[in-house]
Amino acid sequence: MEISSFSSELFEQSNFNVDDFVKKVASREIYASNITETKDKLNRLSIQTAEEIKHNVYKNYANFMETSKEVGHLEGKMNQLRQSLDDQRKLLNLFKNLNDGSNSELNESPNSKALSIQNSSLTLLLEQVEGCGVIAQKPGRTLLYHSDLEALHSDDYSFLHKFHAYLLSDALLLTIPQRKRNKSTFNSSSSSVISRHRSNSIINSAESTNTYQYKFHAFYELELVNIINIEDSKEVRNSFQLLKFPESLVFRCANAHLKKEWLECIENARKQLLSELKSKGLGKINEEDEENEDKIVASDLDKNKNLRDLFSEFDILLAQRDFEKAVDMLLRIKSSKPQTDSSHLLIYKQKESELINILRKDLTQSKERRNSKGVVKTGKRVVNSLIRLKIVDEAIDLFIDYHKHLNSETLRKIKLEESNTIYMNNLLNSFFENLRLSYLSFKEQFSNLINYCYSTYLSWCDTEIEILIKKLQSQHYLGRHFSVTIENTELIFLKATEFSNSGNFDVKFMFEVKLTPILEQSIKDQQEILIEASLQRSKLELENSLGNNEQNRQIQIEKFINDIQHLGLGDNFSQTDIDLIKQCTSSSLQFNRAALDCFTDCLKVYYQEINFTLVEAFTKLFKAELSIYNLYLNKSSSNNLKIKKSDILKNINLLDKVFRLIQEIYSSRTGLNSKHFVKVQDKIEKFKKDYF
Amino acid sequence: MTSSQNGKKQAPIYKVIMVGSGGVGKSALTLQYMYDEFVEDYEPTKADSYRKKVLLDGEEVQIDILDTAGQEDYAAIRDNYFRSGEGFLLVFSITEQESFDVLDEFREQILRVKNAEDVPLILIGNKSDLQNSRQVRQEVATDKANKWLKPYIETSAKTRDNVDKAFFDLMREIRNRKLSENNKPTGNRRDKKKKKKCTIL
Repeated sequence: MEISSFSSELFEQSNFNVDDFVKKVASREIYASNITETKDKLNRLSIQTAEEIKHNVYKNYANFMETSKEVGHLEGKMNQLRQSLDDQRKLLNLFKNLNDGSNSELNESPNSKALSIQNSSLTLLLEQVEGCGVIAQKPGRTLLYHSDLEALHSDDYSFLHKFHAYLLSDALLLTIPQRKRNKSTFNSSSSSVISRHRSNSIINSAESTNTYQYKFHAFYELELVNIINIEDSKEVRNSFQLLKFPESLVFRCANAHLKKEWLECIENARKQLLSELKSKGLGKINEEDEENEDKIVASDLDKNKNLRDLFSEFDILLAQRDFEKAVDMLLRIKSSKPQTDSSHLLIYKQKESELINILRKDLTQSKERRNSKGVVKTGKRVVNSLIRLKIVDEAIDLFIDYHKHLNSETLRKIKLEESNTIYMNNLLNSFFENLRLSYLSFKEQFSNLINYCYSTYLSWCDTEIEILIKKLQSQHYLGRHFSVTIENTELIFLKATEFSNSGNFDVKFMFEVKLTPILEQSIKDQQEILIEASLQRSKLELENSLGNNEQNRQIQIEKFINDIQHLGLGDNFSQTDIDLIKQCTSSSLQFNRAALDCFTDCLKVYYQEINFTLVEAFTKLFKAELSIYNLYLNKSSSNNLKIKKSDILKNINLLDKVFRLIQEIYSSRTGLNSKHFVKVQDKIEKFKKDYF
Repeated sequence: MTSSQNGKKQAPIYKVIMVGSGGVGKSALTLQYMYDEFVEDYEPTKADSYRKKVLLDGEEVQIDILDTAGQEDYAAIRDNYFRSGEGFLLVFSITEQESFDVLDEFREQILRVKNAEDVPLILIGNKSDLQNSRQVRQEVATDKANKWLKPYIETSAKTRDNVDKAFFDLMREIRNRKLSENNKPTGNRRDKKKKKKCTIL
């Protein structure tokens, strides 16, 4: 092989070996010129190859560039195709819905749209209203109607502001138009709907740009509001009212047609809601295992199951009579909000009333066992349970019930004593002790609810007091005998004041109210007795020629003076007064002494309510006495009586003195001056003037 | 929207609520009073509100009549109406005993939701022109009204007999109630609603 004859093909052979090639070339006779020639040739070849490689690389690159351009272009095309398909699908859906909802024809009003029920998605709401994510989440809720409405003042129908209202299947949502509104989206013509869909799908991030038209304002559940049609009048037209006491909103629609639609839609929604509620509520109670509706999501199912478990646990606890834990369980159920579901609420109420019934029964039984300690224990437990369940009215009723029982039991056990004072003391002590204990436990058990229950408690105390007084009255401890009545009343008041002063509430006025009629009757009776007695005595005095009269008189004088000292009125009688006493007739002495006694007794229990009766009784009493002296004078002038006119004058002077004294102690005790007393005083003066 | 802008003093509003079972003539009474017309056709009411200015003893007032549905399905929702009312016309038809009997229930509901022992209220026996088919005797109705300590008026929406009297008497009752409430110290009200026997406080 000629060295110069080799070509580039030789190098391109796959089995080309550099060493072999060099050996082959070297095995021949070598000349310098040949080698140089070969070297040049190789050099040329090398340069040629490098250029070829360069060219190829460039070509490759260009190809690659072109292909990627082509791919990018194709990708764009694909995207466009997909988007337009998407749009077409949406458009078709929209038209389909519009056609299907033939009953909800398109609205003429530019700002309102009737939506078919099938279009149950709340996407529109999510797109248009800011801050209503939670509202749209509730399963089964659909959008029924929406339009602009004007809110008016409910009193004078003046314009307040604009709302955009959405009627959902179970609620009414009020929104306020945003200030920065996008004009193109506000127009609700179909072309703009499409354009909005397109722009949304391409940008695909409605949240990032502020495209909300409205802001959430208020939310009303249809179950809880009244919708009232307002008849057109001079002041207002096309309006209706939403009532959720104490709120009252008046909405004005753009035209009469719109109003009609609103009212109809709301009415239908409410009817639908009502029938759903009814069927749901009944169905679930009758058949708890009934298949849940598709709408209810899995978490709700779990919750239902949990609740059911809790209810059955509650039943077990109730059966075991572990009321504390049963109450705990009920509270747990309550805290898991069964109120959200009417059926659970019903079961909850049922369980609650079961518990209350059992507690009540428990209390009744322990009352029948006549064990007061047991009653207190059970009663406290029952009341505490009820308070924890926040059934306060029932709690206070039962509280009163068992304390009433305790009270009557204690009073029943007190033995009748021979001595009035001992019996009264025992009775009143136990009564007030019971009252004190009941007040203590009332404060303890109803600590947070005192304001709410206080009047009920007080009214119960009032009844108890009435019962006590009736009891005393029937046993003749009150109202029968004047001095006993006064004595016992005084004791009652003393105990009542003690009770009030030892940090309890005021009971004295309750007693006063109850005792007033008894005291009034007692005072009147006593007054009549005194008048009668005086009349009898004076008759005897006039008829009798008086055998042992002087002796009797001396005894009376002694008694009178003793009484004065005893009543602490000694200072009010001067020596001349005592002398006067010593000269008076026996009947006069007896009368004055009895009157003074009676009056001071009355003042012992004096309070405002009996004031009138007291004054009246003593006015009558002294008038009657005066008329007796009138009789004396008439008789003394006609007959030859042993009693002289001067004696009568002395009697009248004593009467005068005693009556003045009565007025004095009256005004010092009560701080009052009685007109009636002054009149009687004047009569006495006049009488003296006329006859002497 | 004009009156408030004028700054004119608003005539006081008396909120009257028509209560009674379906078909006793609540709407007929209302329409007769409002527009002097008698509507023969019966169409159940849902809830209509009427307002007009009238002269009550020389003073200009507004009467706001809420004509409720006799057939209201939601008993609970009636509470809302009753709370908003100040005076009530309890209407029955003298030709229908049952419509008379249910009024006790209505009255109790009103007292309950108003949380009061007494509210301005008048017992109305409507359809007094239909004496021939009378089922509720006048004495029986008067007895009930007396028991409630309230007036009883027999009306005829057809002949407009006593219609004005019913509304005006009720407005007077509301006015008196408002006056006495304004004079009362506010403290009393809270005590009253708790329990019946609060006199001792």
